[in-house]
Amino acid sequence: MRVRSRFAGLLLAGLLTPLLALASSHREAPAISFDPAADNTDLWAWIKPGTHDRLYVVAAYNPLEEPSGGPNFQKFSDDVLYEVHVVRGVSSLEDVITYQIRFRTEPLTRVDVADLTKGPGGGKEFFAQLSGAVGFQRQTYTVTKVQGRQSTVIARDVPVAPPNAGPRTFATLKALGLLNTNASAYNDDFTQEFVRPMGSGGGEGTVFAGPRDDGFYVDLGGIFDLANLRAKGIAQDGVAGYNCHAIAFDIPVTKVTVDGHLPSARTNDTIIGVWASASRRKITIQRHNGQSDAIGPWVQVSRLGLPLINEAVIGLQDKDRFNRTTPVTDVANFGAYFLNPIIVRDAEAVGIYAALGVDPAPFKTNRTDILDIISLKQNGYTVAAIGDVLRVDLTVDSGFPNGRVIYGGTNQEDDVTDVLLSVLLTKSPSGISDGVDHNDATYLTRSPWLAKPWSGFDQGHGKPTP
Amino acid sequence: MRKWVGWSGALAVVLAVAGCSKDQNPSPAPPQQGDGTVKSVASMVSGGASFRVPFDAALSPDGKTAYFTALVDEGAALFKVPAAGGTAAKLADLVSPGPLDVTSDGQTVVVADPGVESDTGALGALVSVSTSGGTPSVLGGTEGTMPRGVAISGGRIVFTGSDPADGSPGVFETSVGGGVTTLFKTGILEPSAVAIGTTGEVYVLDAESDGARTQHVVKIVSGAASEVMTGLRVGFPAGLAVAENGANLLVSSTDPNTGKARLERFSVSGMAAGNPFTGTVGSFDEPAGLHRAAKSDSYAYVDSGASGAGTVFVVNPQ
Repeated sequence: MRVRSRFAGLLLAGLLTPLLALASSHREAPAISFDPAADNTDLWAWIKPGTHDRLYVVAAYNPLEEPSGGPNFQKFSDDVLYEVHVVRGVSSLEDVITYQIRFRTEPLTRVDVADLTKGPGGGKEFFAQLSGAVGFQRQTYTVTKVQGRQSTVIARDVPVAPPNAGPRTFATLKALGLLNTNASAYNDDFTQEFVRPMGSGGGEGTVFAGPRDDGFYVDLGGIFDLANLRAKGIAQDGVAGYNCHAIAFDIPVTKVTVDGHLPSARTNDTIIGVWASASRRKITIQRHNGQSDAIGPWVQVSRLGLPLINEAVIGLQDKDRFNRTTPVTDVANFGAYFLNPIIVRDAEAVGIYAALGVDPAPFKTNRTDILDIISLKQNGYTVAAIGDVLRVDLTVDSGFPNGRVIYGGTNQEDDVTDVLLSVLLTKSPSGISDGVDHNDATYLTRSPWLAKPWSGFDQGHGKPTP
Repeated sequence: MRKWVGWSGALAVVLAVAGCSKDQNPSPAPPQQGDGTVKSVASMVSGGASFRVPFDAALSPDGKTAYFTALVDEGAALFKVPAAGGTAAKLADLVSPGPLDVTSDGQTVVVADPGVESDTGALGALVSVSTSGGTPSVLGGTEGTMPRGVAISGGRIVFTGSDPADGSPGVFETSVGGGVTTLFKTGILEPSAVAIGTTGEVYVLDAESDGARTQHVVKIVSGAASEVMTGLRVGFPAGLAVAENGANLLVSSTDPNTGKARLERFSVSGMAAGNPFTGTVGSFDEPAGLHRAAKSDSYAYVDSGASGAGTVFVVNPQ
């Protein structure tokens, strides 16, 4: 195609991508930007290469966590219902399995401040690290698997990994007996102590929840200074050095297939869809005594399937509404955004297409190609139920948009920014390169996949002062 | 009455309503019904300068006057409006009121207000207000019950909330004379709307027990509960009413496929049996309270977002 061929040039790649490469779903909508603990930032889902017998899912929340953000370091919210949804087949976007994760923080023990005989611990402390019976005020969680109308608790009272405040915290808590660990530091061995089995004998897989390195990479500063573009090598990874809070699942694939067996060949049932969400109670009442009460049914306030959909596809006027709805209604509610991607017109508005002498008209409307790509038409599926879910073909190795992969042992994940922006702007799955091409930490080769959280002591964003 | 403070609305209790992000429908037409079961649904009053985000509404026994709770600039309040439509008049300031119902003599409105706080730390109570307006009073014994739903039949005032002794959710009963008894607690997780049947049975909508995204209704008779409908998607307050013949329940809910509000009718003998009414209620998507008039076959129904700032409707079945 004439126009398409002109987009293969490196010049266009260098200009377009930094303009439009956004944070996967960090603070992407007005309402959720005020509620970081419930803000889905990224979702990865892929199957184990070669054997295809494990499904890995990492759902991240809480964008741009500053590692040194004490004394009350970021955490999961006890008032939020976190969910990972699995749909199956080509004709339905209804959940076949839902993993619900609820957190609970151990209440602080009130201590008489005037009683000088009391040792470290309880609610009197300045340092949050000293406030709980096991160091940091302990937070645990329960995982409930919902299948049909059957709800089963598959993990109960699992400890959340603590924040990585710094080496003095780790050593002190361990010395005081407030941190029960065999690890010598906040390292990967320590992380593995928080990877716990689900179901009897681990038959439902494993789960981890806690702070991790934010595994996304993008030049936030350049983009949001009204596309103040910077070339590769100068562009900055705006997510570098920040943490997130992640929930990581390692699930036997047999737990998500229609018949409980590994698929031997592709059928309409061997494609699944994964999406994650966060919900809060309808009503919150703030009390004078410092507490709050949340009542009423759950209301979804954030969701994420494919990266960048709400961020780059949905217009500002509908972003909050998108977060309140489910993939089932995406075509009815938001189909026009997919068929007429506003990001093309924004690129035109800032003069990108004109500068390159490219007519953007072919990319503005009737974009059924976008729907074909996200629904894995190239994988041979004919998907009738289209919505913002991350599709995963259970019969072949994953690779975006067939899943979204973290490549353990490297600093590479599927560069979803490149793929989606190439698709949106040029009708091609490739050709546009991001100015930031790798993560600032090496991903793990096992759950929770994301690197250990940056240390508050010496890896935060503070700078020495004169 | 026990000592209670903060009725002037000066309590800095904040009522935060999630889920109000929505289309700004420009003055939509009155909701249309699909199958003739409901004769008409007409707007009584819509939010604007005097109130916004109405939560629940109930009719006087003769069905001629509606009472409803809603937000105002400085908090929340109780209003009344002619069922035939007209201007809303404020009866009393409240803290964070939700569900309400009218006593059988038509003289008193009982409001579930989970936001009130006593100087003893008790959270939430049922409060009563004269239908001619005036200072709210706490129904004795209901302090600390965090009420979330209320229904009145004869002298019975049945409400959902929490047991002040241990915080556990449940279904309770009181009267205008005060005193509280527990009707049911086992298995109730997040009780919301409540309705009283023609033979004294109690229907309770639990916003949690059917899973996180759907709700169910249980029928309570002599301390035993049985599930009568599942898979509902309701708002807050949920709307649940017993039809006058006692055979059916009306529920205000949302269509899972469109997200739009609708009224559903179910047989009290089991879920979805004889469910002829599945039409949507206009293009609204914040369904809230629903109550039947004590002596008139008509209902007050609220959509908290209809027409932008919410609308109180009157529903007239055949």
